[in-house]
Amino acid sequence: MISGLRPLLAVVRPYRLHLTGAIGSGVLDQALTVAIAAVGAWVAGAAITGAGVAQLRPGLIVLACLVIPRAVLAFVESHIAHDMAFRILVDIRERLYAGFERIAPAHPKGHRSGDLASTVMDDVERLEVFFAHTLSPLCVAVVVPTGSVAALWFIHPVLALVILPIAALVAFVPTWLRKRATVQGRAWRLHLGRLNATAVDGVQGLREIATFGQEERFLTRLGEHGRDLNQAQLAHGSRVGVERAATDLLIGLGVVGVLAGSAILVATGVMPVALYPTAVVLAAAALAPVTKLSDAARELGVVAAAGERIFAVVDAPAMAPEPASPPPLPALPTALDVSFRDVSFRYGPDLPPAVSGVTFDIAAGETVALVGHSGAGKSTITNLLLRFWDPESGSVRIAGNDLRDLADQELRKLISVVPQEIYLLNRTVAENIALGRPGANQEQIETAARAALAHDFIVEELPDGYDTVVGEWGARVSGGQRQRIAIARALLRDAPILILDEPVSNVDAESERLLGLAMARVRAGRTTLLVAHRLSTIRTADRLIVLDHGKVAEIGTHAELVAAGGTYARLVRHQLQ
Amino acid sequence: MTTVIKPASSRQRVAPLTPRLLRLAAGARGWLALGTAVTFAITATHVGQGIAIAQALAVVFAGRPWQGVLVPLAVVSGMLVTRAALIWARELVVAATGRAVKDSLRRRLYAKLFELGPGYTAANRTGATQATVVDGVEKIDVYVSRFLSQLLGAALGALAILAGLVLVDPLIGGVLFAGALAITATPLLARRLQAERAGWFWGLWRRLGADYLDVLQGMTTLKAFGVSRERGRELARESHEFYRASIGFVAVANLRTGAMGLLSVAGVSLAIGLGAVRLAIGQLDVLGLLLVLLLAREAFRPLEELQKAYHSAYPAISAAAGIFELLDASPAVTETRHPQPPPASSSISFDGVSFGYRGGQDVVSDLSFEVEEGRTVAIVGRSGAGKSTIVSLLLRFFDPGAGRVLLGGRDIRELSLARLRGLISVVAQDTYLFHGTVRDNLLLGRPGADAGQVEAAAVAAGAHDFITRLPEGYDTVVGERGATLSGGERQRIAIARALLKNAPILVLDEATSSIDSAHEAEIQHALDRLAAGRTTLVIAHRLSTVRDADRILLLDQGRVAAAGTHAELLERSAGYQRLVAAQAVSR
Ligand SMILES: Nc1ncnc2c1ncn2[C@@H]1O[C@H](COP(=O)(O)OP(=O)(O)OP(=O)(O)O)[C@@H](O)[C@H]1O
Ligand SMILES: Nc1ncnc2c1ncn2[C@@H]1O[C@H](COP(=O)(O)OP(=O)(O)OP(=O)(O)O)[C@@H](O)[C@H]1O
Ligand SMILES: [Mg+2]
Ligand SMILES: [Mg+2]
Repeated sequence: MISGLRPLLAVVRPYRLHLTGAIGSGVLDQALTVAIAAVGAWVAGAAITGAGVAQLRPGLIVLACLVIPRAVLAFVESHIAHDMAFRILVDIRERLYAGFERIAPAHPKGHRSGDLASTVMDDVERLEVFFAHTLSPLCVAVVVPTGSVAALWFIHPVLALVILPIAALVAFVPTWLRKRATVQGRAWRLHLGRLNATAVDGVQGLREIATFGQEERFLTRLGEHGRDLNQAQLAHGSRVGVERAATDLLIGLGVVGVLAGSAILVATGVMPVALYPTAVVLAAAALAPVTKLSDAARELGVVAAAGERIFAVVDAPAMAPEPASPPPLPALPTALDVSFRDVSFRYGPDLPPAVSGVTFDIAAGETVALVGHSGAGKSTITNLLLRFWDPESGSVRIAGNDLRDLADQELRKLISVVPQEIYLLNRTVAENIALGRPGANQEQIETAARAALAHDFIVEELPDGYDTVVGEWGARVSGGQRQRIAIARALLRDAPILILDEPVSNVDAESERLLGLAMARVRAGRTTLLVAHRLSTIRTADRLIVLDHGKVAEIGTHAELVAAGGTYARLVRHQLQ
Repeated sequence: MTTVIKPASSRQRVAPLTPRLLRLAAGARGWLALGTAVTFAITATHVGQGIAIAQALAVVFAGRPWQGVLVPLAVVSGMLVTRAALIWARELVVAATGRAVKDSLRRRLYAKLFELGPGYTAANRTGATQATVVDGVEKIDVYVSRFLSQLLGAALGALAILAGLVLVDPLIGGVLFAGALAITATPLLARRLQAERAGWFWGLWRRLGADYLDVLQGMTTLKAFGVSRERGRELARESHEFYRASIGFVAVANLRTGAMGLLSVAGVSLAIGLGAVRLAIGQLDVLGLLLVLLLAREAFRPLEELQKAYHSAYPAISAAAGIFELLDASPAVTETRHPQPPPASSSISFDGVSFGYRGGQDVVSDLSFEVEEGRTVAIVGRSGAGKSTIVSLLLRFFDPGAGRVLLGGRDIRELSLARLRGLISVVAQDTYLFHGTVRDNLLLGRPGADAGQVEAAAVAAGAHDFITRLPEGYDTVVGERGATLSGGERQRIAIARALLKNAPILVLDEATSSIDSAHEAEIQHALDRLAAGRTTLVIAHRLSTVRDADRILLLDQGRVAAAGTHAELLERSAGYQRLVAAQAVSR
């Protein structure tokens, strides 16, 4: 549990000033609270022992003077502590984003986007307990009770000795069941994450659930996750209840002890009776800040678990770590060549290689088609060229530079891509196209859209033209429209290397032909890696690289390979008939 | 992107205690009663303890022997032990209350979501829906099990103590009563502001969650285009905005807590001071003053705790607005009240169907065609012509604005949705695989299928080979959306899943678009075999896939521009000729 909290302390460092302010006002607030209680008790004691109104007056005046400052300080403490906490949460969310960015597109084991979203929202929000309700109360709980105990000591040492062990015990209650708290905290966060992930699956896969009539099964699964979460929360609640009860009991015992102790002291004439109520109230007041602390500390199991989940992402290593000090990129020619040298790669240590020993070159300005059966490793090669992953062995180079020596931003500037699985943001068509070149103006966007044969449908068929919101994953446009928007986006980028991973698989034949012509223009002078299954597309390439189960089987032109009668000829046999 | 969400904008505003909000807690009525009782009992132990301590003090002040405090102290100890048990019980009751509320509510929300269908989910943000069904429900839990269950017990407890103190001394009791009233009134303080800020907070929470989900799913694209940093900065700005909403919300709460603290401390101090003075002038006895000293605080304690619970439950009131919004959304299609038995025949017919997604613009208009039972009809046409829309209409994700869709001569609106969809096997244009094993995904088609049937379907879909090569074969977990598979592998699983379903109607929407031609030919054979005897609707851009259909419809601008066999269309239809020519040329 403590190890889960350590990274949280590091995050506070920039906010030392906030923290000092919170602690300062917290100490004053609690000190005044104690003082008010003590003075009140003193007034009562004095009255009981026969003091007249005149003698009570100073006490009453002090009482009246303390009330308002205390209320103000309480407000100040809470405000500063929360302000600090919420600011820190902003920082943590930023670091989480950087973590997500670093690991994509790899998914850490078992992490789904709904789960990760739950980390960046719920888990982070949980830390508020730590930053706003644990740190400064911790200090207050050390300072203020010390003062109260000192005051008790002043009344009579025995009383201080009674209350001291109780305060220590109360402070340590949350540590008794620490192991259990940790386990329960983890279970809670885990199940909440799962529930979130399933919730997302249920929303995004709704069409499948409906067409396959799986509503009931889904609800059952959701119910199971909900029950798991409830179970974790129940266990947590039960432990919290025990700790809360123990704390309350201890405090009560402390008060009883002081009560009895001072009764004896008064009866034996050691202590003036007028101080009796003060002693009792001081005892209770000494314990109050400790209680407040342990209120927060009870939640630390959950906080630590949330922290673990957060820092698992924040500290996750990059799949393709950026060089520490990338050498400045030499001035590159406008056309770049690409080379793969003996590249092998697997997606996980326990998985078979997705590509192995792949070697090929693409000359500057050349268009090469990557063909092969489904699952041959074509998209994997594009992933390696984009450096989402680093090869296990071998090297990928652009214009002679190993990708591992390039800064990510530099590398990405060189490449434009239409991925196989197209993701459109839930924004307007124009914004989605402009993703290719932030800051592009409407005219540039339209030019790219025209080249991608998208302009006509955008203005004619979409209700708000370029301002139509396309839905998540582009769910509110047709499959072929989505592809053409993605092509427009890639064209707008205007990078020297173009990757097209089955860009027209969902486009009708006529559009495909026109797109083929348009793309031929666009590709002029650019190095292009084209993944395709259809001959119609493959044949627009200068050269073909044929992949077979992750290995390069053949390289050559369409005519050469058909004549050779090898893998390629077999692959496209059906289309040649 | 930095547009400020209007605080609790056009959304319906929900007050803290509307009947509808209370109805959400209906399932937990028993637990709520128990919670109320326990809260009340806890307050009672505090009172008992206070009285006993006052008595002990009185003994000492009276100068009687110290042994006299033993009895009151024994009572105090009894109270302490009882309360410890009660405190523990209350946490359990709270958790149980939550359970009673959450499960049924979440189920209800999802059932509603299913009723709303894909039309709703496509038009709304997943993250926002997620926030409603997960976080929103958790918030409602806090509201019910922490706030509602304390409400009555705390109010009653405070009232009882105050009444007792009035008996001790009417003046002091009156002062405390006034203080309690003032404390109870603090929620009225800045109520509007609180509602606005809570709405602001919750609105941004939902939006931030949705935006994070969006970037999480699209991060690969953002990275590829080198705009991930920029998007990160945008999100950081939004997250900063959320910080402002958070602190804004908490500031109001702090203000009220501060006011309450002031009232309670001032009230108690005033009561004690008054008591002391009244004792000095002989209008109150010693026990009376001691009772005031020890019980005045107790009268306010439940109210303060209630306030705290109110604060943490407050976002629930905004969340409830989201929940009601979802529950109130009107579905695109409604289930018939009197479903007819499934039709004997599986012919499909569209009869003058018009439909548009967004008001005004029809995607298909006055569309009529027929697929006779057991026949295969292919639909070809430009991308965006409305082909997939036809599938959505057939599955009744939407109802046509005009015209009818018939199945076996019966309007599909007369069938139950589950029945209707059970009659149709679909390979959709974009494949969605669920996080889970390959087998789970296949079994979606037919939950009861045995291993042999699953494998047979996989073999027919050309998927068996690659599945067996996966590290754990059929039990390999595929990532979200099948992210750990290649595009063609995913599509083959989708085909296998549809084959396994084995329904009388087969719909293939670009089912082999991402599959290499060698595999495609193989799969095509399997599909042809399967299509034999089934009513089949094929949508494809590659004419090779549709050439052998019994009839081909050329769709243009949402209407059937031409219909006939491949040969007939080649002869008659200029549009079809152009389509064929395009493929021939690009070969
Ligand atoms: N993220 C991943 N994690 C694990 N395995 C993966 C991942 N992505 C792909 N694979 C596996 O790596 C192999 C190559 O996949 P790749 O996507 O490169 O194929 P492809 O040639 O593009 O196929 P397709 O034509 O179907 O798109 C496949 O067997 C696939 O299952
Ligand atoms: N959920 C939706 N909301 C709003 N508009 C939509 C939605 N789905 C599709 N559209 C629009 O309806 C029209 C027809 O889309 P549909 O998906 O039916 O085309 P399609 O013929 O299947 O095209 P493709 O061959 O590209 O898949 C398109 O203009 C598209 O933008
Ligand atoms: Mg691929
Ligand atoms: Mg379509």
